[in-house]
Amino acid sequence: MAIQEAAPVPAPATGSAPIRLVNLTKRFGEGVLAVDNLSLEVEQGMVFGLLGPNGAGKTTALRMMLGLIYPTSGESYLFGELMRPSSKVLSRVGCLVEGPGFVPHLSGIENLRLYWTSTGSRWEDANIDEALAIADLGNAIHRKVRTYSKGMTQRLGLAQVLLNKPELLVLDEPTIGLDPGEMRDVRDLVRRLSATGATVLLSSHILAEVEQICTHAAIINRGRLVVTGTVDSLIGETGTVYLEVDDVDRALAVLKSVPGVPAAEPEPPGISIALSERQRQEVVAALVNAGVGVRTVMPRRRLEDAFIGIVEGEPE
Amino acid sequence: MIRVELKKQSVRLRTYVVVALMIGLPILLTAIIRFGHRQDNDRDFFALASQSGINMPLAALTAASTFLLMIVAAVFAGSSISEESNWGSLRYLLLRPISRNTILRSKLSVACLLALSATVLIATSALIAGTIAFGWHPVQTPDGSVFSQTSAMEKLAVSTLYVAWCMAGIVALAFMISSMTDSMMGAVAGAVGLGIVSQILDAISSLGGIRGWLITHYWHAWEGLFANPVSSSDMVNGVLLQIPYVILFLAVGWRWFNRRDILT
Repeated sequence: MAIQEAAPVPAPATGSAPIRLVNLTKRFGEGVLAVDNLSLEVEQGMVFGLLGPNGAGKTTALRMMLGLIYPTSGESYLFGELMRPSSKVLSRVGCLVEGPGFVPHLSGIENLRLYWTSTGSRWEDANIDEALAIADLGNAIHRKVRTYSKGMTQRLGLAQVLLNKPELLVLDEPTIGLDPGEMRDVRDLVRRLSATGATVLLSSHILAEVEQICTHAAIINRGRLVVTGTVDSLIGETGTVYLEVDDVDRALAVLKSVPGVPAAEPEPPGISIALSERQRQEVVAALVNAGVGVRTVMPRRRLEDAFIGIVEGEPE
Repeated sequence: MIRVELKKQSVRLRTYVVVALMIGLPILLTAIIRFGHRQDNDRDFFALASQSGINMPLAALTAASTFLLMIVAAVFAGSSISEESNWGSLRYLLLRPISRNTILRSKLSVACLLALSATVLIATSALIAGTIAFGWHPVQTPDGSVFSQTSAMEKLAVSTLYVAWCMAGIVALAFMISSMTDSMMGAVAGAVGLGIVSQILDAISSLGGIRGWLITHYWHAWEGLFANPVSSSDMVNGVLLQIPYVILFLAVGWRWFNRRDILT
């Protein structure tokens, strides 16, 4: 697998990338390091996926990046500006961090209005139409947020993100609680915003989602950056393929005789094997020629393989 | 920002309940005194309430200030930050370019405004109910002095503001705890707890001069305005005493909130 090792990002402040984290570290109390010397740069126009197992420090890193948590050491720069709590640069950022948060006894629209006007901005200047379109709440927007389902609240949270026409979107698990149709809407939204030049940082545990919409990704484990690069480079050129066959033992025997093919793993009622695009055809042809019935050929979720390989391969 | 905060706090069931209570309780007290059995041997504001409409707010303030107003003030101040922390909306407030100081200032202002309004409301409601029930007469006080309506109204206004100011220390403590926790109950209970402990200690006369430093010690000092001769020195002490408490609690709360990692 062709994965570039996590190289320390050079420290000098260059340009004004939407996100630049320099040796960001957070230690809670005397306890463990939640985030350990994390350096990362997200350039304009990227859709950047932040991946990591639960408790890896993704949310802590995001909160530190946005000035909600003070770093123990290191800095976070957004658009070249050193992040402090309540920095002005936040007016260019739209955030959804660890789920939406609304005043339950006020309506959806009232919550949006108060969120927007709290800085003294005029409600007329907010990007209301687009926000309401993504919220897609109809008349429910006038109902108290207390009465909303999880999905409705999540959509209202996404609407809130769009109010300031953000140049940078920070979306922490944006599709959590949404149904498949709504998930697709969110993916379309991210693609659309990205097409208009916005930068997106997206954390997700749904690897297929990252694979589908992100251009770049980083994998974090135990607070440290493990790898970063384009999604393609993380996946590598080969992917695991699952073949459902009518005779597993014979299939394995046949594949041993095919040159250049790595060893296959039996996974009854089929086998799994890491193959390049070209090899897939060869292998299927070899099996069929040898009289092994092939019922399905299915690519595995490739980022998942890469992710699990990378995270589990980490030394304790 | 203050308007935003006011909107969040005012349009809600809890505030309606407090308003209803502040208006309803004096009316209930008035009705009980008007239609209940009179016991002439008592010489407090309650026993005298039927003498004049202006006596009624004095009785209501005496009744409400030790406990009810303290809880109301603690709820308004204690919930202001902790509740938003609990709702998850605090982080979104802090993800906008508004300084934490501005947020604290607006929230404290609204909590103070609501606590002050509650006090004014209870006095006003009692004044109106009392005047309807007992008429517009000169005020008789427990020690037998009599004040004209004009003079009594002035004293009533000062007393109401004084009672409201006496809540300042409690408000500041509730606000301080509120800035540290996402548990509204913790903040309210902490502040009310201090008020109760202080009142209990204040009842122990062997504590001597220390009692003068208790946060609740001068809460009833406004009654001196209705004594003969009028004594206001305790009121001055009462006003001054709240200041160190307010400064201490707010300074700690401010510093804490500004350095706090927002994890909720």
